[in-house]
Amino acid sequence: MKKALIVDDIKENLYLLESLLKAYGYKTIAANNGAEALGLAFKEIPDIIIADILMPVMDGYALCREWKKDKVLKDIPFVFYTATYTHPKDEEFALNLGADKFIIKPQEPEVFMAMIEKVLFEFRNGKILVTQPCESSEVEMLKEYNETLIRKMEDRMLKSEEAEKKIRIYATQLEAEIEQRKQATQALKESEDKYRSIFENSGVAILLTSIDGRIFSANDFACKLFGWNEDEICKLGRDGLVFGPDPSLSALTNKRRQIGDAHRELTFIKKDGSKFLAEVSSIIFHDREGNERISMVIRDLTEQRIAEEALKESELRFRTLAESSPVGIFTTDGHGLINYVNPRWCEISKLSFNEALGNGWLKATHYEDQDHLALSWRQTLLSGDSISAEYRFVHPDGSVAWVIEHAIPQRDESGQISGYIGTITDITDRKKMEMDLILAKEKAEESDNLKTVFLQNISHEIRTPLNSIVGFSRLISETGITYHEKERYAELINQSSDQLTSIISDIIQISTIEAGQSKIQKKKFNVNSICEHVYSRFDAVARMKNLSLSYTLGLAEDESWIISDEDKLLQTMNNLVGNAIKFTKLGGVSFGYQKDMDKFVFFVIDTGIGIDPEIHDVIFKRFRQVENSTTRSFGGLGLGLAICKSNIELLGGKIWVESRIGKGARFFFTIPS
Amino acid sequence: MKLKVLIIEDNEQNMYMLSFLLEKNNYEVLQAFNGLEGIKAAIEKSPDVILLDIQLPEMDGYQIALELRKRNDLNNIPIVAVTSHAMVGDREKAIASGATGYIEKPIDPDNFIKRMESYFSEELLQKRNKS
Repeated sequence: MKKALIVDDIKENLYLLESLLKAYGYKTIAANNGAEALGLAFKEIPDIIIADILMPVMDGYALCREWKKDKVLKDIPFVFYTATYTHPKDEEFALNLGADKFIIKPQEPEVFMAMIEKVLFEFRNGKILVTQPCESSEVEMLKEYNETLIRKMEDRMLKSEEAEKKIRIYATQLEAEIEQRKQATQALKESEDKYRSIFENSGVAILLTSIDGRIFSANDFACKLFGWNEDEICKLGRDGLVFGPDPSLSALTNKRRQIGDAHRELTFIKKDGSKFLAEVSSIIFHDREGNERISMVIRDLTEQRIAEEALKESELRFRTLAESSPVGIFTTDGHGLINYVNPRWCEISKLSFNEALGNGWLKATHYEDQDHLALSWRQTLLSGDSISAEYRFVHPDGSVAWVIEHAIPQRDESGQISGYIGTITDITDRKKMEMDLILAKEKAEESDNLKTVFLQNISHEIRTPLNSIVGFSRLISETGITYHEKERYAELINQSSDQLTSIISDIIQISTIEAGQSKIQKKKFNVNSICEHVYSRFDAVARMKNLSLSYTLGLAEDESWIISDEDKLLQTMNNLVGNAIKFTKLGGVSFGYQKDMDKFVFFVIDTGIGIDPEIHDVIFKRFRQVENSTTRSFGGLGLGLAICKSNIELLGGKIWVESRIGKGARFFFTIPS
Repeated sequence: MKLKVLIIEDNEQNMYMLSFLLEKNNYEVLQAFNGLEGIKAAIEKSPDVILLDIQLPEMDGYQIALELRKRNDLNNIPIVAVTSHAMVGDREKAIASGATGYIEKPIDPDNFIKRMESYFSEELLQKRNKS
């Protein structure tokens, strides 16, 4: 067995080397310094010496020197194994001293051992000559030796200083850390106090339990809630408080483990036996000993449930109210965009819920209302006022629904408008009634106005012939009036009386028509003779005004028979021809008829002042005389054409006029044959 | 010298009757059957009185009165409206247009002259008495 003498002042190094060498089958002898090594070596000669350099009492170099001086020891290989190698000169110096190998720490064990084995092998086979101590003089040797040692010492001192610096820094850091720990402990205590206080004074019930349901602590609120004191609660445990088994417990525990907390609803039982539903939030945590604990926060849901039920009921009531309301209801968001309408709203607008949303409803309103409606809403949104508007919806079938809309703003807690709630009411019927009323009022006013004008006319028309009657009756009895003059006066009086009679008969007739009591009396008569009759009546009048008067017959005498109301036809012709002469100054009047299929078409054509096409309909209305001073100056009641129209319509015909101002007039009417 | 009365009236019967009454009462009668004739006669023949019908073709009595009153030389002549427009407001309208007086038809032959003369100025009445 090979013996290795190992020299190192550090115990751990010695121990490591000893272990390594023993593992390779060496016997080891350990020395703490060079002197000790020499002593041991003399006692028992080793096969190899492995030495460190820096050691107390005798360093590695001194040892090597002594070693190689000794007659016996010099043949034992000397190996330096050192970590203090800082300079190439160290190895050179060591080899000069006679060292056989200079190995730098650290080395892999195998490599180190291979090196040792190699040294021994070479020694055994004598391949390497025993290193002879250097020839250099002793003084030189000592000088170099000193230098090397001083270098080594300085190096080590430098390292020591560095180490000391480091130690000082460590110490400072350590102090800071200790202070921090102290503070942390204090904070922890404060935090613990705080949480304890929260726990104790919490407005919700809190239980601290183990995973298996043991209760360690219950806060005041929990005691109040359950009616037990804390000790009783701890004794009861979780299972004693929960009503019935807790089926979801294990799943819940897993979930809690996974995500840290869990919520559920559980029924609990109180000391007095009553039960209540509660929301339980449990959080899993670890206590200081690392045990899993659960904090259960229990919130009694009884009141919330009651409130929820009430809310549900209230919501149902309002929903029912909205759904079955007889007025349309809508709500909007803060921008005035519709977000709800009730069924009645849809019914009024004929829009679906979805069509109404946003601004969709506006598209279904009447185009004349859209601008002012959009403007009103913009202003309303800006001012935050309520809104009232009347507008129309146009339905797909083209019918129109009038609505009145009222909406008031809804505000959130900060006073911002969160939306509008409003109603629409269908006022189509009311609108129609209003319009009918307005029309009726206008008509009544017009009618009243017409009657005033009519009365003025009547007054005038009656006074004119009356004037003649009164005047000439008086004159006729004057002295000095010739017989001829008297005859003339009598005739003027007769004419005026006829005129007056005719006026009064017109008035009576129009009253009959007004009262709807005008009757027709049909008999067979000859149309040609009617025309001749009219001609003979107006011939003299026309002649007096220097107007021509002619008539045209559409049928021969024996064919011109008709069954109708002779009086009404005659009156119509008289009126039309009389008017024509009245309104004509130059030219003349022609009239007559033509047979056209199953009807007679009569005409009266003049070259008079003409009639503005705009009033062609108006002139046939009762009490109307074309109302401007020029034509009014022609006098007359304005009843003639109204009577004509009434007559012709009673006879089943039509009457109309074709005329323009200054171009004469052509009146036509038809009578069924 | 007889006072001259200008009658503006389109109805021949009325014209005849008024002329008869006036001539019988010692007036000289000037006749005009429409507004233009009437205005022309008023300017050219310097009548002392004008009797004016209101309902006339083309230019009505109100317009004629307004035209006549525009002339300074005709400013003081009595214009008496003789009309069958006898409803409320007709008299006011005639006066507003420049008429001095207003006699509604049918006229009463017995006191027509008296009513007409009631609109005469003092000066004109004296002139009338001298005639």
